[in-house]
Amino acid sequence: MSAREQILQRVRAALADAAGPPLPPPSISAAVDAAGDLAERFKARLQAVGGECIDAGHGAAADAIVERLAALAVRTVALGGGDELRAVAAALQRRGIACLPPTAAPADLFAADAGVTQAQWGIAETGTLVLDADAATARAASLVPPLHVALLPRDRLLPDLDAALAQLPQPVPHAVTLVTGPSRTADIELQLVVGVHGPRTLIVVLA
Amino acid sequence: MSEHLPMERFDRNALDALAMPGQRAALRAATELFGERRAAALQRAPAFDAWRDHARAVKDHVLANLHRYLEQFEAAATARGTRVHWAADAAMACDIVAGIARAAGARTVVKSKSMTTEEIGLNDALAAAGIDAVETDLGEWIVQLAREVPFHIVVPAIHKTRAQIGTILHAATGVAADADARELTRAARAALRERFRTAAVGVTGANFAVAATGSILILENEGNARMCTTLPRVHVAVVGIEKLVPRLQDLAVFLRLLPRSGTGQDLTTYQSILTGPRPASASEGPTELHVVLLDNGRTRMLPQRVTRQALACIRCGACLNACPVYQQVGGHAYGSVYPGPIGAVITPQLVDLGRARQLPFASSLCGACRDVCPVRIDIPELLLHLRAEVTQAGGAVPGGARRRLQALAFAAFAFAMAGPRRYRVATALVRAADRWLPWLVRRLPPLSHWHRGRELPRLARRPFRALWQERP
Repeated sequence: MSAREQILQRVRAALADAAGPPLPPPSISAAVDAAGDLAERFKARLQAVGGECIDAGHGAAADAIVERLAALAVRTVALGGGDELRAVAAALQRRGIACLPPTAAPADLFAADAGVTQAQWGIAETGTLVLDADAATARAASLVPPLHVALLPRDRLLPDLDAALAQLPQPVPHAVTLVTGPSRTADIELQLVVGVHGPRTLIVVLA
Repeated sequence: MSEHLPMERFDRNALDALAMPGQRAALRAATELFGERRAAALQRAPAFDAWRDHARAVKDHVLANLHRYLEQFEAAATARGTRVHWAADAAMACDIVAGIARAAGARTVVKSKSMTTEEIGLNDALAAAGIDAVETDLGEWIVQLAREVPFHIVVPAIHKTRAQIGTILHAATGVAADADARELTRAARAALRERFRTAAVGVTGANFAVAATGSILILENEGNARMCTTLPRVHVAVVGIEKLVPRLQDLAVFLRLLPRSGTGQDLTTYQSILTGPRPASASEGPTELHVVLLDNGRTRMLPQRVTRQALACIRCGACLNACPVYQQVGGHAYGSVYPGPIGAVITPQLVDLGRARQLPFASSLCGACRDVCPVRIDIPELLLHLRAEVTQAGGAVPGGARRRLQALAFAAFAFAMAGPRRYRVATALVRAADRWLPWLVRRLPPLSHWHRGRELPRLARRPFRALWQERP
């Protein structure tokens, strides 16, 4: 008998007369405080976990991103995929900042100073970014360089986690990454250190 | 390699741990901090108790229908290109992972923190197959370099001081041994990045698996699990069969409970929801995704309602921080991958009751673990159930002689309290003995064992009954 059959048979035998409760309905979001402007809440939560939020005016996001990158002396940027980043690529070029394309091999991103990606959604409840790898390449660019800048359209803000999970396309993308603040650890004497394996700095530009 | 202390001798391990003042100070700092952070996070979440009920109902439903959800998961995952493997026990799971690593031509695999792979002893099994497994969670890497086992399920190296970690990381990376936490972390980051860049295989566990979509979810703060699941060509996840939830939306309640209970965060920094290997349209991510579904004793817990509830555990660590026993003796004394109250109920069921028979007694039954459990596992109920099993199976019960003496003392007490005359005689006797009783208790075993950690209270100078009669 295969291990599969063995395990399933054990489970069936064990549960022969087990009666579980019915499956509860999926959403619990009504329990969460939903007051206040989504962008304001998103910003406050993001800052509370050590992230930075830049409120760029409509159409000014690309320039705001490149300004910030230049101020941080960034020389090489790993660019994620997505139409909304085309303007960023052009602005980077004007500014003379080198750019690795979304198709670059992830192993090449280790030399980049920053990664710029699009975020598909933002969650106001926790200041969280939702990166959908099917919609736009972003997995390595948002992870490997020490600085991650994410472009988040304001109309993509959702109130809570439930809304974000319900919003995911069907079939579900092959990789969905939720990002809440910069990478962190407290493994040495419980002291908080920001920037372990992921980015030390997270900047969200609201467009 | 790294060895656990013998779980058969919790009593001796605990005494040894109590004699380590540095370790106890670190434990106190950690358990207090996480307790406070958890309390603060709950203040911000007024619906927390309703979430707990909801989450437990989901778990109970899944566990009572586990075969259906396992088959559904397998079908959905397979449809997305995931290779699903089944492992009845630890050895089988290790063979599967070693086989995958060998087929990928890997000499090194990068690992993110996973209780399940600790449980099956994967690192040693891979080493035996000539494959080097590198832990990449900072605390876990420190513990691995020190050739030890984790001390806490959320912060593995919490028992080590910065100076000790400095010495360990100095040997591994060349960083100054007296560097501060930030510099030490930075040195670890630099050393492990090369591993991430070049490893062909990443090995992880999973916090949840979604039956409807065939997805797995991994929570973390550092980014090493993302590295392990994004950069290597092959990703293997070893997942306990109890980790299933029915639908993607069911993750929301667990994501609200787990970080708040574990570290007091509203959400950990990263959640990776992974469904299949990279599609042809994607330029990054593994081209092979393997999920190993692990039984290894879990199905033994399924038949009875009381034992089945242990499979609802989401490994947050809250019961460790709340437990007055864990707070004193720490994680190593339990001699198991799963320490603390939840370990005391899981280990005897996963391993075997004979070897782990002391663990259900490593509790005062105060119920703090039940109070903090995000999925409301009645750990004291389980402890009592397992104690009954140990006793019924015969064999020595920890402190068995002491227990008989205790029973005798309580019987004498009950007799003396059963009538006013008896009571008067008994108190007169105790009063007469009060002068030499402390001396006796200090010297006469087994009373002297009791006295080691306690002070015998002295009687009041005048008894209450005398004062009462003299009242004006």
